[in-house]
Amino acid sequence: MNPVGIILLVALGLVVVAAFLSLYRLLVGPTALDRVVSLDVLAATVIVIIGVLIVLEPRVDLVALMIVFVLTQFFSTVTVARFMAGSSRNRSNRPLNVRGQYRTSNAGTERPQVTEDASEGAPETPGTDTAGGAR
Amino acid sequence: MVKEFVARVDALTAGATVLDVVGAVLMLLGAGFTLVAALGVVRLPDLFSRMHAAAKPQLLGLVLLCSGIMLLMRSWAWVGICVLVLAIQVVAAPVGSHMLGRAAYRDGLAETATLTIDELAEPE
Repeated sequence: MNPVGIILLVALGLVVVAAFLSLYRLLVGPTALDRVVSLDVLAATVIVIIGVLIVLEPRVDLVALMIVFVLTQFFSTVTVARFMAGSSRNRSNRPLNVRGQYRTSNAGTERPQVTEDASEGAPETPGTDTAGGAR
Repeated sequence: MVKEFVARVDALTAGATVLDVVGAVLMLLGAGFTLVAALGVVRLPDLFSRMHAAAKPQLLGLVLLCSGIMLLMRSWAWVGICVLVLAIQVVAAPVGSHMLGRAAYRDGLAETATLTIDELAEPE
């Protein structure tokens, strides 16, 4: 085989490894937001696979798939971020720590607790909560 | 079946020029950066560093991949397509990251004690 084919096959192998790594994070990611980040990387690996296939097989028609993937890749991130805002705190009444585990104590946290949020007035929906961020 | 595939790839890449090899190496680098992004997502400890690891190598990998495709295809139509893909990604990726970071802050996943400026903090 000549160098171009070998190099592209190696690239395909690297990207498949990357896809499995992000699948692992998708499985174990402690919060839904971690899973969304890994889905983003998974979509990127799919784009790279499509790019390699475009060149390796002459599948020029796959370019439409590539453009559609790049266009729609951020929809999942935006949707989940919009509807998940505040949900992991509200569901348990306990804030999470940085690793996504429940805090055992409130030492060192200066964030307002859920009871204070509820006393502010009408309950906000997650959507308006996220959209009104530019204050 | 493997032999058939190898023969097909051989026929396809027969008579590779320097530009072909350079394009293939660029695509390999793009795949490598995607692997770096996945490694960062697996290895780093919290959500914000995972987002950091996912965003930058991913975009750089896509840039390298599109440059490789351009060098391998060598026509103006492909230059247009690759620039379109890159433009879409450059516009769309920060939107998702921005909303994700804000959602994570609202979920209390950020360590606000370590921040110098906290622009999302509730007004007193």
